[in-house]
Amino acid sequence: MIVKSLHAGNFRNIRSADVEFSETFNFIVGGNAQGKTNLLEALHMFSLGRSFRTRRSDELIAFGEDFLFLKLRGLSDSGVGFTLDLGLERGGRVTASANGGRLPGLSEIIGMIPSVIFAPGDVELSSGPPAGRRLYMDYTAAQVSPPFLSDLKEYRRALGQRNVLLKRMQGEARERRDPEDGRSRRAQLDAWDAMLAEKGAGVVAGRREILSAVAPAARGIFAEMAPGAGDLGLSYHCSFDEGEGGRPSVREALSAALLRGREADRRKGFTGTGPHCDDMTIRLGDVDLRRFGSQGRKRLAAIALKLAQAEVIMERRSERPVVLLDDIFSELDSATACRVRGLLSGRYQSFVTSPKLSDLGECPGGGIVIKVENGALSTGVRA
Amino acid sequence: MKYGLPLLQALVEHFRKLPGVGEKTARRLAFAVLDMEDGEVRNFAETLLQVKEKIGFCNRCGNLAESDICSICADRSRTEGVLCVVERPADIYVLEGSGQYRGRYHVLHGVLSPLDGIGPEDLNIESLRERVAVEGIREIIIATNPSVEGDTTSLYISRMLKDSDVKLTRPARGIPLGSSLEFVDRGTISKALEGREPI
Repeated sequence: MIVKSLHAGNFRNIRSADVEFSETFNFIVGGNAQGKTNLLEALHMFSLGRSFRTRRSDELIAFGEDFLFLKLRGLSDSGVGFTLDLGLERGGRVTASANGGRLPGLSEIIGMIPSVIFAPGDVELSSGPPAGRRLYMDYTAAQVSPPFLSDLKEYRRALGQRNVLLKRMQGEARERRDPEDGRSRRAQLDAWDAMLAEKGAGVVAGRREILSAVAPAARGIFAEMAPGAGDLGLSYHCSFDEGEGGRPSVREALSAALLRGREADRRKGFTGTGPHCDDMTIRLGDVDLRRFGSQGRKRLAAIALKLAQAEVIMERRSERPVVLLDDIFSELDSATACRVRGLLSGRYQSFVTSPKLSDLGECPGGGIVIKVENGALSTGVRA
Repeated sequence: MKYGLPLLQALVEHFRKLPGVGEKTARRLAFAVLDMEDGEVRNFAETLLQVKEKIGFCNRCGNLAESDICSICADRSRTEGVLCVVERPADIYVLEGSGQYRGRYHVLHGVLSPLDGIGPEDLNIESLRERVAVEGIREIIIATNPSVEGDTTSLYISRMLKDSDVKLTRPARGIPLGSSLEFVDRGTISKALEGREPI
């Protein structure tokens, strides 16, 4: 997938713009609050059908205007040209057209322009709490395996049910209710535990499987960006002792862990073990990156994870994603910047924002520079 | 809409409360009632009253019944020793429609769902244990819906009866008859592949 050009009107501070893009590297440069991220946001609108920054779409319309429009010309990997249009009137909903024909729903546009976006907060993927890494695994696995998504949804539903039951039991223990009630509650917990173990085993199996595809891709990408920094290793960290077998053995193990934790769960009023507490361990060589890695390494690892996700999803979808990177170059040293740029322009069409042209590093490379000044875009300089 | 006719307005509002009835339909129904013969309206009203008064639940299975025992439990031609557990009486009519099942039923009147405050004590579930002992049940088909709650309720029942030697089954899930693979959703396809059968 290649984005050939974008025509934008009244999109945030971009009043009117007509840009032709490079098929390799597009460096979007400008001072703070000039509209660099707005350009990424406009492109990303075509992937998601909405903004990645806000759910209030009226904010997207330029101040004092009543509507916005975006028109994208693209080329599919099989070489077929297409156009996509998005429009939004103040107080209305985003409408979409493909090749001039109005699409019945916005959901039709999702996935037409596959993209990966890396925003400054995404460094949390390697340095932040486990929830972000679970989401990463779940999102990737759900993209490639529909049964995984149904296991995950059902696991979450059953977990919610079990937690409510635990809360109730916690309250009843305080009131010292009839022990007959207690027996009935235990029988109920048995049933919910069995359900949780069944679906949870599917979740763990799906995450492990997706990691086995993502890990080599991430290792390769990281090695190109930071040669000599050590191997980037991803592995699944289970919050319970899961045994190394397949789905049936994970089910048994989770079922045993839930039973062991039951008394503690009842006191706390929620479920303290299971796939919802698991994590992904990121190692650099022999070292736990999250605990001992430098900020720079964590950032590169997070970018590698995002790009690896794109690679894996692309393998199953057969359309190359565009890569959108918001303000990562300002944090990289010149040599690393050159390597990242080389990697990107060799594999993807990419759009990268930064405050200064000098952040690119002193190396030759293809692509173009797009200058953003108070919402006005100008192109032409070779990067 | 106001008609200056409070009675008609009240009738419209009553119809409006029924499932699937909007303002326009409710008005049409109300006007249809106005057009009915006196006797027919009297009969209709009487039926409404009697439905509420006379229809209760079967003492044995929990199905709807006009006497202590429902017509299915009373039917001696039914296969003895086989029960089908369903969530609601309406499910019985669906299963009966197939004409294939000849055993009797057991209606739970819901499924386990702590989120909705429903536990086993709120369901017609304990009496199932008694029926197994008293009626000499050999097989129970648990036909709760294939939802997280329906599946968990089925697990609960299977655990409750694990010491009896009743055969417990669950209806298969898969590709609907008369449909084409092209139009079946991905979740159903994967369930159908899991439950594939030798030819």
